Amino acid sequence: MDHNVSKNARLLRICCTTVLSVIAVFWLIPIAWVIVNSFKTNLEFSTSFTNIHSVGEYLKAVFPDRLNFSTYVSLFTGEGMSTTTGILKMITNSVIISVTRTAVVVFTTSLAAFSFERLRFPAGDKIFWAVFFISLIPSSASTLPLFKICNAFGWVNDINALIWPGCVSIMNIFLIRNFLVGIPKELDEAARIDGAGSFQIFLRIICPSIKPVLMIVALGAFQGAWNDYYWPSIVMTDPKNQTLTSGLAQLQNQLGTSQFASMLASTVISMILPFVLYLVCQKYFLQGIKIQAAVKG
Amino acid sequence: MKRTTIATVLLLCFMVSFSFSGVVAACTAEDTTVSTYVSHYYTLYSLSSAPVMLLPLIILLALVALVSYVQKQPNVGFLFTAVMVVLYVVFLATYSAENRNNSVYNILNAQFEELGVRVRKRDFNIVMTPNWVCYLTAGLGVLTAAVSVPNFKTKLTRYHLKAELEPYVYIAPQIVLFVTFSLVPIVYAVYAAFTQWDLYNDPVFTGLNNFRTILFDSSNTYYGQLRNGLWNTIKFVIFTTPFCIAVPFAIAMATRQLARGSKLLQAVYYLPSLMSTTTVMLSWKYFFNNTYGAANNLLGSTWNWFSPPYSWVMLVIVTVWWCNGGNMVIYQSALASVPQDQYEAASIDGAGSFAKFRYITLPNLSYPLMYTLVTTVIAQFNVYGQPNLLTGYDYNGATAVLLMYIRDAAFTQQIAGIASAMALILGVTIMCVSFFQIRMMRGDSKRARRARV
Repeated sequence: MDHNVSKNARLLRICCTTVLSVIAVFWLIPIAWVIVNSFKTNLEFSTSFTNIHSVGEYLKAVFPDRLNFSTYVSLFTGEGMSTTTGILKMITNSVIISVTRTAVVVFTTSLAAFSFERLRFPAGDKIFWAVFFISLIPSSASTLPLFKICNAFGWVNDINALIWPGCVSIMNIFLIRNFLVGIPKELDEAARIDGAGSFQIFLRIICPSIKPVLMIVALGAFQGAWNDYYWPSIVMTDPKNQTLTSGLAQLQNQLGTSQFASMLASTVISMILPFVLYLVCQKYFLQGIKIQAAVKG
Repeated sequence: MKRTTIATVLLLCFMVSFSFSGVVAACTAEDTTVSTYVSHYYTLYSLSSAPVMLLPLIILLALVALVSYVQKQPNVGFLFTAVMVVLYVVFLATYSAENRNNSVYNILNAQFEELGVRVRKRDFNIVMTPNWVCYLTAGLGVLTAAVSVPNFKTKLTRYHLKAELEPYVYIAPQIVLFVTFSLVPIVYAVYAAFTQWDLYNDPVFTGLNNFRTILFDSSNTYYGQLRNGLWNTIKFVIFTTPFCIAVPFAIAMATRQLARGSKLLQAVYYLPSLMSTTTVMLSWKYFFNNTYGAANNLLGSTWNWFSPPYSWVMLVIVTVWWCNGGNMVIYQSALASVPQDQYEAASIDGAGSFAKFRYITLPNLSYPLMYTLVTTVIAQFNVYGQPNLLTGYDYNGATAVLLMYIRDAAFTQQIAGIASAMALILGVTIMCVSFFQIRMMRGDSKRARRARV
């Protein structure tokens, strides 16, 4: 290899590393602030920044006096809260809802995208674009009709009301379609000649080759379900039967700003599981869609 | 005449007959209007039991069957018609005419009782849907199916049928979910835009009144809210979209250059996306707070970061910081999918980094880039949480976006008709913008395909 090119490449690498690391520090500051403050007591949080005159005092104010788990403990025991919240029940609810929704969304949207993009049936494009454009109308005004529908199904205060309406995901069909365009049709055709049916092609050829996209969809669906707090707070009328995010949001309303450290602790708890999921998915994002090699081979 | 033509005509007759027989008792005399019809339909729809849920499904199946007949696919048309007829018969069996009319009567009666008025059944100007209309409808459906019944005995028909039907089966789960949980509420919301509605009682049809108020009546508060809100929303879209595309793209490109530590850095850049709206906004607000926050106390200033025009800068920074992850992972996996041999070939031809970026990376990423552009614009049009929690209505609503006004009108002030009208205007704006973007995108892709051939 040319000596000049490799020198340039090394320079570029060093530049990128430096710039990215510096920005990453700034990127982390708000999150670090959340985590650090969740270890303060509520009193400490509201008074730590009074009377700052020097850098030393400032640093002392930023960090908690000592590692204090009382905010976390009180979230689980309900100590010092106006109501006892079953946080374990909330976590169970959230996990059930998010996992079911993720599974349903990934399977149904990829199947629909495959059908729209690859099977090319006459009404397909019309149906897709009609559905796509209709779904662009903001849902604010349709929340109440949706509540009535769930009521008719007998789903008020039922976990089903949080699962099924959230499984509609036209944007994900659109996303998968866009990635499917890049996968050569030769693969499908070869399999069809070998006698594979459409579903076989979908399962054996399409799904494995778009795994990174499916992971993106899964992560998005999981987070959407996990962080949704508006709809659960409407349809789950029983405060004992909440999801984690909406339950904690309601708790925050009760606590008010005087117990901000507790609120930050609840945030940290609710971030753990999605972050683990991200770490699991991460390697798939970096794999990319390797299909060209398959066509040649 | 061809069988598909006959089937099409029969199916159209079915749909007309269905719309008369369906749920609602036909209204007589002076109040026979579309609006009473629709509102009765929804009254019943929202309050009654599961069989009514079959009706949107039947309408949907009829539409798909109609499209199939028009597209000259009688086999598919037959199957959809058959399923539709079965569902309709099930509906009739479980939900007899007596029931239908009684429930309309009971609902209305309950409302009058609340007002302390005693009324009799015939005062409602509602007649029972005659049973023969239902039977006629069912008959028309059966006839449509009979006309288009294919010859299943031949192997070829079976093969074609499977191939023709498969796509519909695959899209069915999403479409059924969409119709039940998105389309029906949206249709109701669109209808509500033409009514006066307080969320609790039935909407009262008022025609274009809402639109006249918010579009032309400059003395009305909602007139000002719509203008200010829509303008701020558009400003927000224009300010944030370029950064929400460029920043994740640059990060995704740059992390690929790293020798090690790239996974760690990517995780760092993804972290903010894990937080929910409330937490992000409240923690930023407190971070820059004069009393509790770390930012101002470091600088020793009492600067208000949330006054315009700085509030816009804050909003853009928060949005880019918070939304970076979603687009970043899309770019990452798209970049990883670019075949490496193209770069190698370009290197041999002596192409520089910029040439490689321009002629290999960008064309390979055109679809993901277009996708993220379309969806980012849609997402930014739907902005609500950031300005609501961070800056609110301060400074004469300098950063108040339309969805804030809409939710305020609908749920705080309970003027849901006006709110729906504003939501509809926002929806149409989003549709127009997306439509042009998608037209551009498809034009590009066609050109690209032609070039490749």
